[in-house]
Amino acid sequence: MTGYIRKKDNRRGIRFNLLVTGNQGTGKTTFINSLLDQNILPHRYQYNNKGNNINNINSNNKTIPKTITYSNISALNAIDLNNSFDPTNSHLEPGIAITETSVEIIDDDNTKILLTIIDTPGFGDNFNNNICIEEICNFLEQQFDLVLAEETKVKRNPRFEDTRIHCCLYFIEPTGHGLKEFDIQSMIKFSKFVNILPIISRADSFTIDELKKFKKNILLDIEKFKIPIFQFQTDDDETDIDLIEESKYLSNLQPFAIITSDLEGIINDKKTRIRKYPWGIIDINDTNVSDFPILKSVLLGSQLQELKDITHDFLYENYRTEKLSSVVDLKNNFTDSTSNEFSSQIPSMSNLAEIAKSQSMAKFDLQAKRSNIDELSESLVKSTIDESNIIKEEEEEEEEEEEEVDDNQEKPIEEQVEESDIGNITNTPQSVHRESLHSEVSNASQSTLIKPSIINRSVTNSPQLSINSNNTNNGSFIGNFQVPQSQIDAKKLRKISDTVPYMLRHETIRSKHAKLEELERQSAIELAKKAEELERKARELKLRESILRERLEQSKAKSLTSNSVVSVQSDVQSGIQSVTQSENLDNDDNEVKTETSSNKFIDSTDDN
Amino acid sequence: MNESYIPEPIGIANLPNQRYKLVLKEGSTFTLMVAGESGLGKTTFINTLFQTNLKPTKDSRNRFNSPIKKTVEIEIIKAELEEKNFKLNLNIIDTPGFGDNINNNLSWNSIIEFLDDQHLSFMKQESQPDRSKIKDLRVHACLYFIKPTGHTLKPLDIITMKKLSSRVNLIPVIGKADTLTPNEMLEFKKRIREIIEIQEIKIYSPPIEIDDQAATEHAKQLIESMPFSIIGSENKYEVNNVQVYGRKFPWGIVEVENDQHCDFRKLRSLLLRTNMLDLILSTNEIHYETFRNKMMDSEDISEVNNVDKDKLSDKIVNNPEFIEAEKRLKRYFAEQLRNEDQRFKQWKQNIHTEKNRLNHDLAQLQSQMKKLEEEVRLLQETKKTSMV
Repeated sequence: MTGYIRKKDNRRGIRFNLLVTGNQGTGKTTFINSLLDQNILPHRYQYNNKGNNINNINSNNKTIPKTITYSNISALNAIDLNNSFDPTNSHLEPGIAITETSVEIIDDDNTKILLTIIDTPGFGDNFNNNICIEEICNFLEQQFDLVLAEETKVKRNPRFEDTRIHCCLYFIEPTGHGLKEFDIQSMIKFSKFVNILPIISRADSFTIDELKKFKKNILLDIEKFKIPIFQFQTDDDETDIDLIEESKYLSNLQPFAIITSDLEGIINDKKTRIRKYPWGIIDINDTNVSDFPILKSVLLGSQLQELKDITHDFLYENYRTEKLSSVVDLKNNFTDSTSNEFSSQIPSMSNLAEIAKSQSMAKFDLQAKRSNIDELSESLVKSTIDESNIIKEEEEEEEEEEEEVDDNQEKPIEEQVEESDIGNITNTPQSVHRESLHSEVSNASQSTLIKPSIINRSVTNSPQLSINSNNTNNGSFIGNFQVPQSQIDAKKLRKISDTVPYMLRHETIRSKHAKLEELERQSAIELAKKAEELERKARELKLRESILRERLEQSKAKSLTSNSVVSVQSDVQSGIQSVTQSENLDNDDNEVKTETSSNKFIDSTDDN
Repeated sequence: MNESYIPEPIGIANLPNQRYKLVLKEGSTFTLMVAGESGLGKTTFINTLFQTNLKPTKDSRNRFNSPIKKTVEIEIIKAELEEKNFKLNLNIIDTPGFGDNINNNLSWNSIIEFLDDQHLSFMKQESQPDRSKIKDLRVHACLYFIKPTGHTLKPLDIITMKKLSSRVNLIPVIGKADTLTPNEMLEFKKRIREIIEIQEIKIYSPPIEIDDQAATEHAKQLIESMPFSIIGSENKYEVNNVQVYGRKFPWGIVEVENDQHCDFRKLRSLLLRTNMLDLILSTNEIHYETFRNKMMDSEDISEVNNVDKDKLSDKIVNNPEFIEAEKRLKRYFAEQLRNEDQRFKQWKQNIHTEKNRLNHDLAQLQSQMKKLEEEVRLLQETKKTSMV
């Protein structure tokens, strides 16, 4: 069976998604070129200076890398910076872009690796670099969401491409001091979604002693700020001494200090890449001065599968539990049953994992209760809304607005979904889609019915968790997964339809949505209040009318004198007057007025 | 008379010598500022330049004693150097923390403030009756360290350099130049020069004296190699039987004072050997004067307090923290406003619909009343008829 899978893997190639990030000028592009041993990626401004270099590069390579730009937020096009050097605009903030380049590597033993390299031009170049961290986190989360949406589909796409990032190389600037605030923050934030390998780039700026000191400082920083970087570890029951030795060696080596180059040269009759200085020549594959060859073998060889496994079994699984828990816990009934089942499953896992799970579960429970109240009030509001026609109209207007926003958001995701699924969607009438907002709660309960089984299965899948959670450092690793309450709140899964169970949204859009909803809810509550008042007034009016009728009948039956008729008339008149007065007055006053008038009425009837 | 008699010179030619003695006695003051992101070798450069351990490199173990600083500080180091009986009072101004944060917006402010403050305090002292004890911390030269990325300048670098260049003699230098190969360095320098030119950053350039061929040649050479690429080191190594400052790598030794390796010697010559006086004078004549003019123009100088107040309010206005808070408050306020507005609109609409509804009810009641009246009339008629 495993052999079969491997064969299949070989035929289709192993997918490996690599994110390279770090400040500009830390040698990311050069590293990629050195890693692939081809000058595939152009340097910043390279085209500008050397003219028609594009053609040369493409004709030299069999694989033509396509660079796709994902997101780009700025007035200036950050990706454009790569191609043209523009001194007149260089004082403007570049924003940040995320680009993707795919290459195929065929290894010595004929295994094919489909390497996707994600680059982040503009990272750290802005005045305020918070946006860089946010954007990349959003990107990483989006990849998880795509997989999650695919997993929970009824009909899965056999050719679905896993775009989750398996490894993030974080390039640290060779300052010789330590990590900067920006480095620390970015690594901590990214680590929720991806394995982080900190890399000291341009290690040729350090003498041997300086490098030792710098490495020590970085490790201290990592420990102090509890940055969950990737750990080279083996299972406790691993018997292969070589493997244990290797991982020990690698973890002692971290963070890797690499030297990379675009320049090819020959040293000792061997073709390699070199850096040529007036004071000497460096061979980047010389393990005495550069960890580059080690990093290369780690990435494309020994640890490739490990990186992928941890991404899927640990990081993604954690994310998934978090996401789905927030859905499952929407109903009180389900929180109890599912959490019970969870705890019964847990003993099979390592202690640490258990703690993490229970902690996060507890958090989710709390959060769920709160959201339940919200949900209840919402549904209450909605039921009252239906009573009033006018209000409903308004509701629909707002819904339409929301619908527009939704369409915009869903399109890009749906486009990535296979054609066949879109066919499915068209089967369901449009109205279902529209109504989904109203029947959301009930729908949620329906789909949650199926969920516990899925989650349980996933939990049993994850004993591999323990691979990573033996180390003491991992206490912090897990600790970081506990996102603040408000964040979870925002991540609450909202829209659940039949065809695509989880349409997950981009974080920012989601928060916007939440705001909109808040507004809607507020106004709905107010409207409901108004509606109630109106209702009551209508009832009073009806009551009055019926009393009038009664009196009329009485008068008919007894054939009263003209005097009494006049009194009835005056009563009616006074009622009308009070109503006309009340138009111009506040609601409260109105109530009192109508009450008093009706009282008067009753008094007068008593008199009679 | 005796034609060969050469009259004794009156002695005015001796004035330079008198001056020389005076200067020798008084010594001189030179203030140098180093700015740029941390980890670019500023401290090492200072120590290399004066060949003494003026400023100890920060002990890495002390880093954790204080939380991550969010502000740019100003550090002043005073030293007295003596060479051949000539005393030089040296002030080194460092700006640790610059560019270290996630949000570096306005982090240049404290540097600019410091520069302006020095000018202002000098101006105030000058207008005092007793001017013998003037403390002068006006910055004569500012070295701005550029990160050796090989790409281009960051927007932060450009803005900061622009601000600096209008207040001080700015000399851009590329720190840690030993990570760029000669070709890369050439490209990098070219790009930086282009940006400096197009962004109109006024960097310091040594004056070209037409009558002195050698000096002109030297100045031209200096201008050409701007921005200077710098390698710093406090350690000496033996190269070709000579002890030189350098950095020892497994692949060779980089010599600090080798023109092939870096521009350290050129920069030293510019700062200390040939152009120090020019730097000091131009600070006084150009930068201080422009500052003074600006102050004189904008404010009545007698109202010093007023200026102070202005300065203070300026500080508050430009403080990044306050700006942040202000923005946050504004945003909150706008949102609140929007919410209230929406609520009000809703309310208005509700009133309107309620009015319509009540009007409707009223009309109904009225029609009912009419009906009743009709019935009453009918009843009365029947009564009348019955009475009749």
